[in-house]
Parts: sequence; structure tokens; C-alpha cells
Amino acid sequence: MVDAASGLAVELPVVARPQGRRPFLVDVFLRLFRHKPLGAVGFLLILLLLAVAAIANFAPRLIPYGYNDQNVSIRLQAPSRAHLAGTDKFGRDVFSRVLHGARVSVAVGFGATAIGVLFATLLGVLSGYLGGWFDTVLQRLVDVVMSVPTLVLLLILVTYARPGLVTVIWALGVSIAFRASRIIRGSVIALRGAPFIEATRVCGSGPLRVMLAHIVPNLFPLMIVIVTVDIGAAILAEAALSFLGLGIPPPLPSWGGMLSDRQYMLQAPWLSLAPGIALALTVYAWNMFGDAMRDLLDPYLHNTGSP
Amino acid sequence: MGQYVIHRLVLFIPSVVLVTFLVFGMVRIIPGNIVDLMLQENASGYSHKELEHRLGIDQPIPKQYLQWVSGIAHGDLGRSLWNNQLASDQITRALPITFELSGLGLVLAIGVGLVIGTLAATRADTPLDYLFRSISIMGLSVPGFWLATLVILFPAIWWGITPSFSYIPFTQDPAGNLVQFLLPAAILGIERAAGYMRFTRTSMLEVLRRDYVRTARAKGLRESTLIYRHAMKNALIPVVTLVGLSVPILLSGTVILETIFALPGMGQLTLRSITQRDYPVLQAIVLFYTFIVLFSNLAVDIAYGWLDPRIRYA
Repeated sequence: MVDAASGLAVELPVVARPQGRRPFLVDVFLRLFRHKPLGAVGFLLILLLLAVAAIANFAPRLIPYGYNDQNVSIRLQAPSRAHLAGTDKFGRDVFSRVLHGARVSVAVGFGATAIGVLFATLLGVLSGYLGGWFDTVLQRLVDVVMSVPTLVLLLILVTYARPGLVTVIWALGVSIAFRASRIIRGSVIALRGAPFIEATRVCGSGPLRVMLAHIVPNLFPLMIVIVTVDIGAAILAEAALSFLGLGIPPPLPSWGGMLSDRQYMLQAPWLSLAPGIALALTVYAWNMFGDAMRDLLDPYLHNTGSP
Repeated sequence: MGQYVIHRLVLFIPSVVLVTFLVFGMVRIIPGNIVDLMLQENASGYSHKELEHRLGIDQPIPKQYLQWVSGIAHGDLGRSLWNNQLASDQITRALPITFELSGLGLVLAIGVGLVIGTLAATRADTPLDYLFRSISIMGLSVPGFWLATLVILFPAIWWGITPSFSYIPFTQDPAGNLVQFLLPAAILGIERAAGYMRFTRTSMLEVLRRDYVRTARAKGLRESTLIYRHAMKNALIPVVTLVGLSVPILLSGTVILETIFALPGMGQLTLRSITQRDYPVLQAIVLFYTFIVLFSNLAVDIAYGWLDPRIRYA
């Protein structure tokens, strides 16, 4: 294990290690399956989501229809053997569209949290490690941005570029970045005072080296927690944006967008079911998994506040 | 205490200044020319020059800012590009609706969340606790707009019942108004209640493990007195923070529910000003939202001292 003396002797990034000799992530997942049954269920549902997203590209061999295969002669048909979840206003197969929608959700979830965590780390590490006026100004800015209701912030951000998947991902990423940078900053401040950071500084490492080689690797568990906790929220926010007509533009299948066809639903109530179930199940899975990961990684988070 | 309030109000000033910078910058940091964008997106009937003038962007930046801020100080939040109405008038009309919706939703959420959270904590690890906890995670996962869609759709199909989609003002028909708000407020409340319930449960469990609770129990206090008079007071302190911090989330929820239930509140106004690229109105709205949230954060901090006399303000 690492003590102050060996921290001095070996100039290696000091990543918090679990008790055993297993790699960090393997250890976390073993504990997930052993102690967190609900989190494990969430994880399996997520694997299912990823599998669906992966095979959705292979229409019509693995799934019945493409997401924009229109056939107006069979529009608004009730669920049947040929169309498991019925057809929509253009005669598109709702079930296939829900499967394709998994791709959009996965892209949005992972894309937005990746952008969010990347920028949050950049801002949080600089703000927490450097302190001073940069920290003060940035934190007041975060205060102000966080006081705009998230959905309103997102609605404004998406108007800044042409409507599309990438725009939605960036808007969500930016809104996550502000929130998460506060959490990362807290962790960095806790780390800054740690003896092993003092030691590396005494050894002559400059600020850049300390930040990149010593602080950032120790933030890894926190980043995992932020990603797992925020993906569900990002997917939900994308659905809300698309539901309001300002998210993913048609014909791309977004679960939220599919639910916005409300004028046809009295005639075809099945339109309201499949996308909603897919969305709720996905968010449920991420919530369970995120909760479990937060509990499991808690010992490595270096701060008392949780995301 | 009084000094603390003053101190907090002084700290409020830089935040307010920053808010004005941000909202001012909102229309100016858009890549490309916003006027071209607006002319592309809609036909508001203005020429390029006129639009620039209406947005006030035909002047040097510092002058623009000073003009805009002094306008706000005089209560002039600008005029809509579409109907030339004062933004402040539009907001004063919409605000009571949003307050009513979010207020009712919050009351419902707190009521349900606290009661069920406390029940779950006092019966921790019993089937009832597991039931409540799984329901709450489901409550957190089911999107409000989907729930709202289902709640409107299926009664309409099965029994032919549809809620009223034309707004009934409270002053005209108080009963009808409350009935109209009940459904959206309930959906807004359910989403929040799940979070409050989980938090109340955790907080209550922690308090129930403390020494003073053990002492109270040892001296033979009735369980209900113990929980509702002694434990709850301490357990609620962190819950107050959560409630205060959820104001922006609540306001996000009203945007969607006002759209679905056709309530002409701030949410609808926001959405309309965004789709119409009505930036003067949008700026006024964002200014308003940030003020509401900053004030609610301030209220939470002050409520702390009132709830927990142990907290001393230096």
C-alpha cells in the first residue's frame, strides 16, 4: 500500500486501491453483484439497452423495420403480430422505432455525460487547485447558471445551434458540466491538502504535473459516480426536450418525441405506451445502478457531499 | 440573526450583477449574427435594422448594457418583438399561475414525502419499507410528461372524461380553478415526493440512532411523541435544504405541465418566447427565474437558523 514514504520514493500516480489486489473496477463490480441486488438488476437492464442499441442498426435482419420505413396504407394500426406495438401516423412500426430510439438515448446519455464530466473536471480542477480570484469568479458563475431551471437552460442552449442530435448532446453536456464542476471542485480541495499531494509538491512537481498526474487519477471514482448518476437524468431531459419539440428533430426516433404525437393518441392509444415504458425502464435502470455505484464508490470520493 | 440576513443580502449583490451580465450576454454570445438567425427562423415583420434597434444591439456594448440595466432599475424589462406588449405585463399575468401550480405541487410533495418517508424510516427493513422504497424509485423514473399523457388519455378513452383545457381564473371560479390545477399539481408533486420521501427516510433513520432518542425512549416516552415531537424536528432540517434546492426543478416541471394542461403560466411563456425567438421577453423571464431561485436559496439559509438554533452565524 501507499504510505507517505513510498509516495515520495516512487513518482507514480497514486490511485486509491481497494483492500484486495483485484483491479479497482473488477472489485466494484464484484461487490455490485454481491451486495447490491437492485443495482445489479439495473446494470443488467443497461446491458440490455446497450445490446438493443447495438443491434438496432441491423434492420431489417435483426429487427423488423427501419426507423423511417413509412407505409401510409397501414397508418395508426393497433398492435398485431406484424407490428407488435402498432403503427404511427406515417404507418411506421412503433416497436422498431422504440428499438432504434435506444440508440438515440444511449448516444445522448453517454455523449452528454462524457462532455459534461470532461469540462467539469477541467473547470473543477482548475477552480479547486488554483483557488484565488479564478475560483471566486467561476463559482459565482456556477451559482448563477445553476439558478436557471435546468429545462429552461436547456431550451435556451438548444436555440444556439441548428436542431439536431449533436446540439442536444452539447446542450446537456454544458448543463451537466456546471453542476458537476462544483462537486469535482469540492473533491479537489479535499485532495489538495492530502499528504501525498504535499509530498509530490515537495519533490518538485509543478502545478500542471500535480493536477494531471496526481489529482485527476484520484478523481476517477467520482467521475464514474457522476456519469452513472447523470446518464439517467440526461436521457430524461432529452426526452423532455424532444417532447416539447425542441430536442431531436424528426424523423430520428426519440422516445420523448414519439410521445409528443398526442393528437393521434385518442385514436391510437398504443402510441403512448411503448416509448413511455422504454423510457421509464431505462431511467429506472440508470437510477438503480447509479445509486448502487454511489454507495459502492463512497469510500473513494474524498468529500462529504454526494452528487 | 439580523446581522446574518444583512450579510447575506450584501453577498447577494455580486450574484445579481453576474445575473445581469449573463442574461445580457445571452443574446450576444450566440455564434453568428442573431438578427440573421431571427430573420431566418421567423418572419416577425421587422427589417434587419429595425430588429437590431429593437434588441438594442446597434450601440456599443457598454452603452447597451448600461441602458438595459437602467431600464430594469426603472421596471422596464423590454417589449415583445411580436405583439409589442411589455415583458413585465406578460410575466405578471403568467406568474400567479406558475406559483399556484408549483405551490400546490410542493405542498403535495412535502405532505406525501414526509409522511411516507417517516413511515418507511420507523418501519425500516420491513416489507412496507421495501414497498415504499421501490415505489419511490419508480416515481423518480417515470417522466412527468408521460404520466400526464396517460392520465389525460385513458380516462378519456374509457369513460370519456377530459380535463378542461381552457384556463379558469381563480377570481372567476375558485372551485373550478382548483379542480383544474389538481391534476397537474399532483403529477408535479409525485415526481418531487419520491425524492423527499427517500431523503426524509435517510435523515429520520440517522436521527433515530442518536443518543437523545435512546434517552427519550428509555424514560418511557410514547413512540409517536418521540417521533413526531422529538425526532422529526431534527430530521427535517436537511429536508428543508432539499426542498429549497428543488425550486428550480419544480419550475422545470411547470414548463412541461403547463404545456400539456394548457395553463398560460411562465412555462408556456418561456416556451413561446423561445420558439418565436422573442429575446427581450426571454431575457426578462430568465432574469425572473434566477431571482426566484436566488431568493429561495436565501430563504433556505435563513430558515436554517430558525429551525436549528444551534447554528450560529458568524
